[in-house]
Amino acid sequence: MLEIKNLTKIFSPRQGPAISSVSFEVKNGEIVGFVGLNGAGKTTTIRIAVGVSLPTAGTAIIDGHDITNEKPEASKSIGWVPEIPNYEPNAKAWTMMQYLAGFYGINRTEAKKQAKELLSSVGLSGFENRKLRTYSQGMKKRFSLAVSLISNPQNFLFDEVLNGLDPEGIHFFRELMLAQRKLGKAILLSSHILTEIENLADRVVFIHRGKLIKTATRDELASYAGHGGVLRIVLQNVTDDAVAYLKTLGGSIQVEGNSVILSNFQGDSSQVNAELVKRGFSVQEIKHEKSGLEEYFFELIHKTEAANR
Amino acid sequence: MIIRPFLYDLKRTITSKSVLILTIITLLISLTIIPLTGINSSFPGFSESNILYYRDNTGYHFLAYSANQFGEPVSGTSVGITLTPTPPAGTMNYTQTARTNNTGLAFLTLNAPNATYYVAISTTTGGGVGKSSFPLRSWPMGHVELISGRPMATVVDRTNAAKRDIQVFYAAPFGAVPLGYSLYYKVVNSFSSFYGNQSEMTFLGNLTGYHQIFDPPLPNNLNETSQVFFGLFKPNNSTALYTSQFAGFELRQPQTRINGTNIATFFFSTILSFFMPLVAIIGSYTSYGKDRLTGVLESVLARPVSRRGLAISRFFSTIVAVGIAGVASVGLVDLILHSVSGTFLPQDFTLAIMAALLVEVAAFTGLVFLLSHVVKSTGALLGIMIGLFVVLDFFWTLIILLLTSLLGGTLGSEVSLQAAILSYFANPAQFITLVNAYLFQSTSGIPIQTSNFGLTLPALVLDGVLWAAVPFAIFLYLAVNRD
Repeated sequence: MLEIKNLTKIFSPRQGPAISSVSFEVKNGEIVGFVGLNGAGKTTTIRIAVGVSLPTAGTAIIDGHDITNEKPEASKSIGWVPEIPNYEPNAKAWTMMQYLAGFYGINRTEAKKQAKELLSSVGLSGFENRKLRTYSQGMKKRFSLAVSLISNPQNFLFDEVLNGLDPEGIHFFRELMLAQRKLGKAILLSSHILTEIENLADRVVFIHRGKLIKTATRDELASYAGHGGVLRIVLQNVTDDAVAYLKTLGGSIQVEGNSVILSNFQGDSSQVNAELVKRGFSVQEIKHEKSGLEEYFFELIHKTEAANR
Repeated sequence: MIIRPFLYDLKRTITSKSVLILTIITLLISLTIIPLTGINSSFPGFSESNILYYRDNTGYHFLAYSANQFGEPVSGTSVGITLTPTPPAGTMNYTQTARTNNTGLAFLTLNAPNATYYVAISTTTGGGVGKSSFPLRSWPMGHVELISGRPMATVVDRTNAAKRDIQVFYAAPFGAVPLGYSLYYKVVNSFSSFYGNQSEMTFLGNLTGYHQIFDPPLPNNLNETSQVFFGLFKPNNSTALYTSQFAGFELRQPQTRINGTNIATFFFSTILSFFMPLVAIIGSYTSYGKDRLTGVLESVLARPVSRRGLAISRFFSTIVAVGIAGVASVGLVDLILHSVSGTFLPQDFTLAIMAALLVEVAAFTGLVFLLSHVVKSTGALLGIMIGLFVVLDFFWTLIILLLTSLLGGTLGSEVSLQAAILSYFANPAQFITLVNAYLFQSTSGIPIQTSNFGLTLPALVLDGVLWAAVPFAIFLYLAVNRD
């Protein structure tokens, strides 16, 4: 379990805090999405949580261990895959894995065995003896993932791991996260690919300008999706009667040729279709585009910006 | 938990290419002390090789002895003898080749009939090939004749390169080992000749083999014209061999004994103390500075290791790695000087130099580690450290001159000495020089009472501790408390 407690980080007093009093938790068996614009503070939060950066205030508790004061113990339970993995470029994957395994008290023989298995499990078989500087970005992420799995940690922090991956790589990481969740691991996933967060996360933590602005559960997101959306209707002829009827459904309406677009539509599209047919209108197409995480996210940001004005 | 990362980083630092290369370079630099000892390690030329022969019913027998400049046997030397009959004896040549064994001896037998011959000698070692040829003088059967080299010759004393010992190479009739033969000597304080007999000479020793080295205990009051005569006598006290004289000052003991400590002092304070800061800078940059500034260190910091633990392990593993190069260099220099002078450097001197080297290494390592937390790029770090190295190692004399003139002194004056010693305190690259000045109570060849210039043991220890500890302490604070 991962607890972020009132984390504040000030890099420079002139610039103000990069993150301010950020608090949330990731429970075991849970994937928490971590969403925010560039510079919102996601990476800063994660770097503090894994112990590579120091907090100005607050701390992160990893399975009961304070990352600031009990770092060696806390770090044992962390698997971290950074956005841009940065390892000794001239080291070979094989030797680097064994070197890092030593920090977890894994003996030489076991380290060799694990290195082989883990590199194989992330699809790097045959590349073990290549220097890391020759690895592509995707390979480095796979290698970083293999490293993060060395100690079979209870908590994973994935920082923009899906960036720069090919579809196969994204699929691989997705399946791995789902498998780890099944094993009861706590996973924090930061990503700009919101559809992936939407599909994977049990909860989503939204951060904006260094402040946590919302934590939404999957149910809340589903509820939001059910309450809003865009209804596109293509009629053979758009008449005033048809427009008058559609206006009664609420939301704003826009007519473009034979198409009528209803924004913020919260009803049942099949009932609308049935009513239009009943009223004698020829419906050529009706499409309900439900609101997703992206809309939710931007709405949250707009609300936050408006509140700050 | 600190031991494991320490051992990992130690191994990583020691086995890093740059540190390995620098260690090798440091050791190679140590070899530059060889010319300072003035010793030529090459083997003597073949014209000096010793070869004797005798004849019996079975043919001509040759005995060769190959030695180095110390008169010590050299095995593997190839010796070739060819006997060419001189007309009208015939036209058939007799040839044989042999290699010297581990006692430096080679035995060759040519089944040639008794006749007049022209002998060609060819000797080959790693040092080259030597050839000579001349008519072989005929002697009665069993008579031993030396045809190459000298029966008594000077060789370099193993324990004192400035001194010479006497090497005897001899065989009794029919090539027998000259057991019971004895060597006598006589010192004459003039250029005059000596034709005395055995009773007028001093016994030096008995021969126990074909070759033997003698170190005559000559008096210390020999003058420049003193000559030493040697005589080899048979068991029946008749003269076997009488040699010409040797210059007494060549054999006198001790002559200008090689002072290993002086050479080592010069080497350590000029050559090694010049290179060690560079080795420490590059070693520290490789093991920490580069990793820290490129972010690679974070991949290690994310492991179960504390910031303090990682900082300490990297620092000390770097010092151990670079220190090993320095200590190995001191050891190598000690061995080289021992091989020349026969004695090891004084233990307290060696330990003081090693401690001073470690201070230099710790200071420069600490500075690189510290600056890694201050500057933002590898280029800036390397630039500053190379600049610092250049100033502290190359231009320090100019700074001393400046300090001297500021203090109102001139070169060689007391003020100049004071400025030099003060500047040494302020410069970790000159710490060895400071230690040498204290140990030998002299600086730049000028004898001084160092305590008059503030150079006392407590001051020296304090300076060393400060240089070793302060940069490290600041670095540790930054490493633990700053990103």
